[in-house]
Amino acid sequence: MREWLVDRTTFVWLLSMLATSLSWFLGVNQEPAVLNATASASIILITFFKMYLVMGNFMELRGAPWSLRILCGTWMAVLCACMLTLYCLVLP
Amino acid sequence: MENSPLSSTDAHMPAKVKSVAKKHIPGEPGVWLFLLGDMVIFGLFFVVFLYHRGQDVSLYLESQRALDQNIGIVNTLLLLTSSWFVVTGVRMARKDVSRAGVWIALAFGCGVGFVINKFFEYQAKLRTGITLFTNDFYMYYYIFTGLHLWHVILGLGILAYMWHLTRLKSPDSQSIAFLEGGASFWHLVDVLWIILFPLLYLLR
Repeated sequence: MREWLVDRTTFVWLLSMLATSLSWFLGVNQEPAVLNATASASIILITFFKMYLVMGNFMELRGAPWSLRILCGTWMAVLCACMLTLYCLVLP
Repeated sequence: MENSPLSSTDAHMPAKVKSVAKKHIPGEPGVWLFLLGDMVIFGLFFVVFLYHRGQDVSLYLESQRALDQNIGIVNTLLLLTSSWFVVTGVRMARKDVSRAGVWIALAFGCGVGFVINKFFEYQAKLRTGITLFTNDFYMYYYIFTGLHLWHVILGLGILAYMWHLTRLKSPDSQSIAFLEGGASFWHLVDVLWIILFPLLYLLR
Protein backbone atom coordinates (compact mmCIF):
# COMPACT_ATOMS: atom_id res chain seq x y z
CA MET A 1 0.00 0.00 0.00
CA ARG A 2 1.09 3.56 -0.57
CA GLU A 3 2.89 5.16 2.38
CA TRP A 4 0.52 8.14 2.49
CA LEU A 5 -2.44 5.85 3.12
CA VAL A 6 -1.06 3.43 5.67
CA ASP A 7 -0.76 5.63 8.70
CA ARG A 8 -2.42 6.20 12.05
CA THR A 9 -3.80 9.56 10.81
CA THR A 10 -5.82 7.80 8.10
CA PHE A 11 -7.52 5.67 10.75
CA VAL A 12 -8.14 8.79 12.86
CA TRP A 13 -9.68 10.55 9.85
CA LEU A 14 -12.03 7.62 9.13
CA LEU A 15 -13.01 7.33 12.79
CA SER A 16 -13.70 11.11 12.97
CA MET A 17 -15.88 10.90 9.84
CA LEU A 18 -17.86 8.03 11.38
CA ALA A 19 -18.22 9.87 14.70
CA THR A 20 -19.45 12.98 12.85
CA SER A 21 -22.03 10.91 10.97
CA LEU A 22 -23.22 9.38 14.25
CA SER A 23 -23.56 12.86 15.83
CA TRP A 24 -25.55 14.06 12.83
CA PHE A 25 -27.79 10.98 12.97
CA LEU A 26 -28.46 11.53 16.68
CA GLY A 27 -29.07 15.23 16.03
CA VAL A 28 -31.64 14.86 13.26
CA ASN A 29 -33.56 12.01 14.92
CA GLN A 30 -34.43 13.56 18.25
CA GLU A 31 -38.20 13.86 18.19
CA PRO A 32 -39.32 12.03 21.34
CA ALA A 33 -38.49 14.54 24.10
CA VAL A 34 -37.29 11.83 26.44
CA LEU A 35 -34.52 10.89 24.00
CA ASN A 36 -33.32 14.47 23.48
CA ALA A 37 -31.24 14.73 26.62
CA THR A 38 -29.46 11.41 26.14
CA ALA A 39 -28.84 12.04 22.46
CA SER A 40 -27.58 15.59 23.03
CA ALA A 41 -25.32 14.58 25.92
CA SER A 42 -23.94 11.80 23.69
CA ILE A 43 -23.35 14.37 20.93
CA ILE A 44 -21.29 16.52 23.35
CA LEU A 45 -19.21 13.50 24.39
CA ILE A 46 -18.67 12.45 20.76
CA THR A 47 -17.61 16.04 19.97
CA PHE A 48 -14.87 15.96 22.60
CA PHE A 49 -13.77 12.49 21.53
CA LYS A 50 -13.28 13.90 18.00
CA MET A 51 -11.39 16.89 19.39
CA TYR A 52 -9.14 14.52 21.34
CA LEU A 53 -8.44 12.58 18.13
CA VAL A 54 -7.76 15.66 16.00
CA MET A 55 -5.63 17.51 18.57
CA GLY A 56 -3.66 14.41 19.53
CA ASN A 57 -2.98 13.06 16.06
CA PHE A 58 -3.42 15.87 13.51
CA MET A 59 -2.04 18.69 15.70
CA GLU A 60 0.61 16.20 16.85
CA LEU A 61 0.12 16.82 20.56
CA ARG A 62 0.92 13.13 21.13
CA GLY A 63 4.53 13.96 20.40
CA ALA A 64 4.53 17.41 22.02
CA PRO A 65 6.10 18.37 25.36
CA TRP A 66 4.03 17.60 28.45
CA SER A 67 3.46 21.28 29.24
CA LEU A 68 1.62 21.82 25.94
CA ARG A 69 -0.29 18.55 26.27
CA ILE A 70 -1.44 19.49 29.78
CA LEU A 71 -2.54 22.99 28.67
CA CYS A 72 -4.60 21.65 25.75
CA GLY A 73 -5.93 18.70 27.76
CA THR A 74 -7.06 21.03 30.56
CA TRP A 75 -8.82 23.28 28.05
CA MET A 76 -10.66 20.31 26.60
CA ALA A 77 -11.61 18.83 29.99
CA VAL A 78 -12.82 22.15 31.43
CA LEU A 79 -14.79 23.02 28.30
CA CYS A 80 -16.38 19.57 28.14
CA ALA A 81 -17.38 19.75 31.83
CA CYS A 82 -18.80 23.29 31.42
CA MET A 83 -20.78 22.37 28.31
CA LEU A 84 -22.23 19.21 29.82
CA THR A 85 -23.12 21.01 33.06
CA LEU A 86 -24.74 24.00 31.34
CA TYR A 87 -26.66 21.70 29.01
CA CYS A 88 -27.90 19.40 31.81
CA LEU A 89 -28.84 22.31 34.12
CA VAL A 90 -31.70 23.38 31.86
CA LEU A 91 -33.16 19.92 31.36
CA PRO A 92 -36.79 19.64 32.47
CA MET B 1 18.51 20.77 3.19
CA GLU B 2 16.48 19.82 0.23
CA ASN B 3 14.55 16.55 0.52
CA SER B 4 15.69 16.11 4.07
CA PRO B 5 13.54 13.72 6.15
CA LEU B 6 13.55 16.06 9.13
CA SER B 7 11.09 17.96 11.25
CA SER B 8 11.76 21.64 11.99
CA THR B 9 13.31 20.74 15.34
CA ASP B 10 15.48 17.96 14.00
CA ALA B 11 16.93 20.22 11.36
CA HIS B 12 18.96 22.33 13.77
CA MET B 13 19.60 19.73 16.45
CA PRO B 14 22.94 18.03 17.09
CA ALA B 15 22.92 14.34 16.14
CA LYS B 16 23.54 13.27 19.73
CA VAL B 17 20.49 15.10 21.02
CA LYS B 18 18.20 13.83 18.24
CA SER B 19 18.13 10.33 19.61
CA VAL B 20 17.18 11.53 23.10
CA ALA B 21 14.83 14.45 22.47
CA LYS B 22 11.69 13.03 20.89
CA LYS B 23 9.22 15.64 22.19
CA HIS B 24 8.68 18.37 19.69
CA ILE B 25 6.38 21.41 19.38
CA PRO B 26 4.90 21.41 15.85
CA GLY B 27 5.81 24.80 14.39
CA GLU B 28 7.12 27.82 16.29
CA PRO B 29 6.23 28.16 20.00
CA GLY B 30 4.87 31.67 19.24
CA VAL B 31 2.23 30.13 16.98
CA TRP B 32 1.02 28.03 19.88
CA LEU B 33 0.63 31.13 22.08
CA PHE B 34 -1.76 32.50 19.44
CA LEU B 35 -3.57 29.15 19.12
CA LEU B 36 -3.99 28.77 22.89
CA GLY B 37 -5.34 32.35 23.10
CA ASP B 38 -7.82 31.57 20.33
CA MET B 39 -8.88 28.36 22.09
CA VAL B 40 -9.57 30.23 25.35
CA ILE B 41 -11.59 32.99 23.61
CA PHE B 42 -13.73 30.54 21.62
CA GLY B 43 -14.15 28.39 24.76
CA LEU B 44 -15.61 31.42 26.54
CA PHE B 45 -17.92 32.05 23.56
CA PHE B 46 -19.27 28.48 23.77
CA VAL B 47 -19.89 28.73 27.51
CA VAL B 48 -21.64 32.12 27.16
CA PHE B 49 -23.83 30.69 24.38
CA LEU B 50 -24.91 27.70 26.49
CA TYR B 51 -25.55 29.96 29.50
CA HIS B 52 -27.85 32.24 27.49
CA ARG B 53 -29.48 29.23 25.86
CA GLY B 54 -30.40 28.10 29.36
CA GLN B 55 -32.24 31.42 29.92
CA ASP B 56 -34.61 30.85 26.99
CA VAL B 57 -34.37 27.26 25.73
CA SER B 58 -37.59 27.36 23.70
CA LEU B 59 -36.44 30.37 21.62
CA TYR B 60 -33.10 28.68 20.86
CA LEU B 61 -34.77 25.37 19.92
CA GLU B 62 -37.33 27.08 17.70
CA SER B 63 -34.65 29.19 15.95
CA GLN B 64 -32.39 26.17 15.49
CA ARG B 65 -35.07 24.44 13.39
CA ALA B 66 -34.38 26.86 10.52
CA LEU B 67 -30.74 25.74 10.28
CA ASP B 68 -29.81 23.16 7.65
CA GLN B 69 -28.05 20.28 9.42
CA ASN B 70 -27.10 18.75 6.07
CA ILE B 71 -25.00 21.80 5.16
CA GLY B 72 -23.51 21.60 8.65
CA ILE B 73 -22.38 17.99 8.30
CA VAL B 74 -21.01 18.53 4.77
CA ASN B 75 -18.90 21.40 6.12
CA THR B 76 -17.71 19.27 9.03
CA LEU B 77 -16.68 16.42 6.71
CA LEU B 78 -14.94 18.91 4.38
CA LEU B 79 -12.85 20.35 7.22
CA LEU B 80 -12.01 16.93 8.66
CA THR B 81 -10.88 15.74 5.24
CA SER B 82 -8.86 18.91 4.65
CA SER B 83 -7.17 18.35 8.04
CA TRP B 84 -6.22 14.84 6.97
CA PHE B 85 -4.82 16.20 3.70
CA VAL B 86 -2.75 18.75 5.62
CA VAL B 87 -1.37 16.26 8.14
CA THR B 88 -0.48 13.90 5.28
CA GLY B 89 1.19 16.81 3.47
CA VAL B 90 3.32 17.67 6.49
CA ARG B 91 4.24 14.00 6.92
CA MET B 92 5.32 13.83 3.27
CA ALA B 93 7.19 17.16 3.58
CA ARG B 94 9.42 15.72 6.30
CA LYS B 95 10.61 13.15 3.78
CA ASP B 96 10.56 15.32 0.68
CA VAL B 97 9.05 18.81 0.67
CA SER B 98 8.20 18.66 -3.02
CA ARG B 99 5.74 15.80 -2.35
CA ALA B 100 3.63 17.93 0.01
CA GLY B 101 2.26 20.35 -2.58
CA VAL B 102 -0.55 18.19 -3.90
CA TRP B 103 -1.85 17.49 -0.37
CA ILE B 104 -1.83 21.16 0.58
CA ALA B 105 -3.67 21.96 -2.67
CA LEU B 106 -6.33 19.33 -1.89
CA ALA B 107 -6.79 20.81 1.60
CA PHE B 108 -7.14 24.26 0.03
CA GLY B 109 -9.87 22.89 -2.27
CA CYS B 110 -11.82 21.55 0.73
CA GLY B 111 -11.46 24.94 2.46
CA VAL B 112 -12.84 26.72 -0.60
CA GLY B 113 -15.73 24.23 -0.61
CA PHE B 114 -16.47 25.19 3.00
CA VAL B 115 -16.54 28.91 2.13
CA ILE B 116 -18.86 28.33 -0.86
CA ASN B 117 -21.20 26.22 1.28
CA LYS B 118 -21.25 28.93 3.95
CA PHE B 119 -22.03 31.58 1.34
CA PHE B 120 -25.09 29.63 0.16
CA GLU B 121 -26.16 29.00 3.75
CA TYR B 122 -25.97 32.71 4.67
CA GLN B 123 -27.74 33.63 1.43
CA ALA B 124 -30.64 31.24 2.19
CA LYS B 125 -30.99 32.68 5.71
CA LEU B 126 -30.89 36.31 4.59
CA ARG B 127 -33.46 35.64 1.85
CA THR B 128 -35.95 34.45 4.46
CA GLY B 129 -35.30 37.59 6.51
CA ILE B 130 -33.13 35.95 9.18
CA THR B 131 -30.41 38.42 10.16
CA LEU B 132 -28.01 39.17 13.00
CA PHE B 133 -30.79 41.15 14.70
CA THR B 134 -33.59 38.55 14.44
CA ASN B 135 -33.01 37.19 17.96
CA ASP B 136 -30.24 36.17 20.38
CA PHE B 137 -29.76 32.74 18.80
CA TYR B 138 -29.13 34.20 15.35
CA MET B 139 -26.92 36.92 16.80
CA TYR B 140 -24.66 34.18 18.19
CA TYR B 141 -25.06 32.12 15.01
CA TYR B 142 -23.82 34.94 12.76
CA ILE B 143 -21.07 36.13 15.12
CA PHE B 144 -19.63 32.66 15.86
CA THR B 145 -19.86 31.31 12.32
CA GLY B 146 -18.65 34.66 10.92
CA LEU B 147 -15.59 34.66 13.18
CA HIS B 148 -14.94 31.05 12.26
CA LEU B 149 -15.33 31.88 8.56
CA TRP B 150 -12.72 34.61 9.01
CA HIS B 151 -10.39 31.95 10.46
CA VAL B 152 -11.07 29.72 7.44
CA ILE B 153 -10.25 32.56 5.01
CA LEU B 154 -7.06 33.38 6.96
CA GLY B 155 -6.23 29.65 6.95
CA LEU B 156 -6.69 29.53 3.17
CA GLY B 157 -4.11 32.31 2.84
CA ILE B 158 -1.73 30.33 5.05
CA LEU B 159 -2.35 27.15 3.01
CA ALA B 160 -1.58 29.08 -0.18
CA TYR B 161 1.75 30.20 1.30
CA MET B 162 2.44 26.64 2.49
CA TRP B 163 1.86 25.43 -1.06
CA HIS B 164 4.27 28.10 -2.31
CA LEU B 165 6.93 26.82 0.13
CA THR B 166 6.58 23.29 -1.24
CA ARG B 167 7.47 24.64 -4.71
CA LEU B 168 10.80 26.16 -3.57
CA LYS B 169 13.97 24.61 -4.94
CA SER B 170 15.76 24.59 -1.60
CA PRO B 171 13.44 24.85 1.42
CA ASP B 172 15.18 25.25 4.79
CA SER B 173 14.29 24.19 8.33
CA GLN B 174 12.23 27.37 8.74
CA SER B 175 10.05 26.28 5.82
CA ILE B 176 9.29 23.02 7.62
CA ALA B 177 8.57 24.97 10.83
CA PHE B 178 6.16 27.20 8.90
CA LEU B 179 4.46 24.15 7.38
CA GLU B 180 3.99 22.64 10.84
CA GLY B 181 2.75 25.93 12.37
CA GLY B 182 0.38 26.59 9.46
CA ALA B 183 -0.92 23.05 9.70
CA SER B 184 -1.58 23.49 13.43
CA PHE B 185 -3.60 26.64 12.70
CA TRP B 186 -5.64 24.82 10.07
CA HIS B 187 -6.33 21.96 12.49
CA LEU B 188 -7.50 24.47 15.10
CA VAL B 189 -9.96 25.85 12.54
CA ASP B 190 -11.22 22.27 12.20
CA VAL B 191 -11.40 21.78 16.00
CA LEU B 192 -13.43 24.98 16.47
CA TRP B 193 -15.93 23.86 13.83
CA ILE B 194 -16.11 20.41 15.46
CA ILE B 195 -17.66 22.21 18.49
CA LEU B 196 -19.66 24.83 16.58
CA PHE B 197 -21.51 22.27 14.46
CA PRO B 198 -23.19 20.36 17.34
CA LEU B 199 -23.55 23.50 19.47
CA LEU B 200 -25.54 25.44 16.88
CA TYR B 201 -27.09 22.71 14.70
CA LEU B 202 -27.58 19.55 16.76
CA LEU B 203 -28.10 20.09 20.50
CA ARG B 204 -31.77 19.93 21.48
